[in-house]
Amino acid sequence: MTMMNIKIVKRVLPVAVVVVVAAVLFALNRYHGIYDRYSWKNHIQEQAEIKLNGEVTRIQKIIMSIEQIPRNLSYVLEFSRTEKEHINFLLEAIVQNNAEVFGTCIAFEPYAFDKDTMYYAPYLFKKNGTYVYSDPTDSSDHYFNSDWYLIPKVLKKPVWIEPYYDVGESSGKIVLTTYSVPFYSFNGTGEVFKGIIAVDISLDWLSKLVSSIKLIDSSYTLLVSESGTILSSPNPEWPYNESVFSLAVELDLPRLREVGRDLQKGNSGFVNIGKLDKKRDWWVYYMPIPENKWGLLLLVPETQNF
Amino acid sequence: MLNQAKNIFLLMGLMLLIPLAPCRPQENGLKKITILPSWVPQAQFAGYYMAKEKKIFEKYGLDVEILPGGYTHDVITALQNGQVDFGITFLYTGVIERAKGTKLLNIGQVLQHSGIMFVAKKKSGIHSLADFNGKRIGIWRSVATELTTGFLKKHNIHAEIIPFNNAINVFLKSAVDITVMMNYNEYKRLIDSGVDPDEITVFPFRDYGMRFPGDGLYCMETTFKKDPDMCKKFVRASLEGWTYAFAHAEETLEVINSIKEHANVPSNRSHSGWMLDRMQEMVHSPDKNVPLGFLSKSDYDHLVSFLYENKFIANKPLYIDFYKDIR
Repeated sequence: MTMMNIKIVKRVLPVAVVVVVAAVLFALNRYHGIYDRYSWKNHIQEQAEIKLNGEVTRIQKIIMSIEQIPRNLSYVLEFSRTEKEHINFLLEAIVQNNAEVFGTCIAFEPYAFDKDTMYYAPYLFKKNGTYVYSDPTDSSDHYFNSDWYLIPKVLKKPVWIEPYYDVGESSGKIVLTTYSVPFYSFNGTGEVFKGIIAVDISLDWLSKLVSSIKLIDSSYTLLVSESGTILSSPNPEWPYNESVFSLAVELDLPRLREVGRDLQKGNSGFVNIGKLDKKRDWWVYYMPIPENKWGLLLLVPETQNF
Repeated sequence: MLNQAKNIFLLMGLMLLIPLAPCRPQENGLKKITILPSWVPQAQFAGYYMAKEKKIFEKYGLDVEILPGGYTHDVITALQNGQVDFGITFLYTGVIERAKGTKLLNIGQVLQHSGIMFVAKKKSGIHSLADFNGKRIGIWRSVATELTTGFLKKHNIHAEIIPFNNAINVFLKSAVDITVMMNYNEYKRLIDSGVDPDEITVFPFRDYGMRFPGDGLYCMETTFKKDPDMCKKFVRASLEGWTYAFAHAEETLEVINSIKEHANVPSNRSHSGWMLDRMQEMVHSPDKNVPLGFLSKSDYDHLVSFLYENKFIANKPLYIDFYKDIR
């Protein structure tokens, strides 16, 4: 090695050492950042799963207890008489003894209640602390063609109907969902469809429950129906106006549509959906409520600098 | 004394003039009129809402109240009973009523075609009209029944017909295999319910020999005879409202969504924007020679022949009796 080369090495070596050390430190920092992000993600996913599992189990229990009411009634109606007084007695027993139930209707097929009556659908509901009957022979809403009557009749099985705002004069503005169960009679050779028992449930209790589900301060939970319609959200403009699919378009978050689709298939997952608030990445843990095919989405913003 | 005489003559002259005016102006100098759309507030009627919002009706001397439509507010009944001055409804409805003898006039054909179609899920194995046979087909109980049943008859389809009040949930829950819907409304709601466009097959009526115009403006003959000038102003202001709505889409969507919210009709920008885009396609005829708001005789004859051949009408109302071109 010549003197010249030694001089060059002496000059370059410190610089090279500094560069290498800086590179190592940078790599370590990145590694820790990635590791932190990875561990944060794992931690949130774990916590969200535990949280939603508990809430879904709780909601399922309530839903199943509600489902039992019209199911039991359908057995009673299949084997008992259907006089007006008896029907009214059954309606009162359900509405007065079940806090979650807003109203109940027993709707008959044309001329199934008696041979002279085409429309017969007595409905008892709560209003200002009292109980009110609507006109059972009122044909104005053509109930034979309404979702709550038609869908379980055609499918021959109980159905949860998409929630809706009821803004009728009778009830005021209230969010309701309906669980409809078909009932039958026996004509000696087989079952004959006779009508539908429809139990209306107010969703206030569920909205309150869902609004309390959080992981960290800025996180929140959405309750969505089977079609992805948002039923409960801290943003007052979303419920019943938006679905996860319409929001995916409006907020330019295509992964939110994928989340909604996966939820509809009955799957759970944890996904980064992008910049929901235009600032930070947001993660969503989603879990279906199997009994009625609704779903919960727990949304969490990334809160650390990685 | 002379001044007193002048005043008396002036007063007498004014008194003579009053009975000559068929619709007296209100205190604000505007003629008060009411209109009833065929459905709840939505972008399907954007032109009329914007004509009101932007005071285009006022510019034409009209004070317009737009009543909320829906299942329980039948346009034809409201016109016949004199509850409203003008109504917005489908061309086929107008023709059927005219054929029954109702003295109804079409004074403006706003939608040059209709968005009506059948939709089926591909996984049900329905890819062509032949696949409709033996399936459950959902149609509206009281809307466009003549068009839907006429479509099935025209194509010799034998299926179980399920009349419903609303298309979406019945279809999503698979209570029907095929459903009728409008491309500007339910189709978008279907997509916003998680159905991907490549999972469904659409059968637009216009692609199957039924290219019929949609919404038009209607009044009774008595209204027209009483005040043709008011009718003309209403039509012109309405068309100007549509032109404004398309040129100012963002503002229009704000207005529409606000009106929907007040009427407790679910709304979002994505759906309203989609509907307004479809309206723009339908307001303008593919035939460049057909001007805005005009009902062409060939379109009219095409619909009348369909209704007559399928026995939905017993006679063919004359074009010149049914339509007044007052654009």
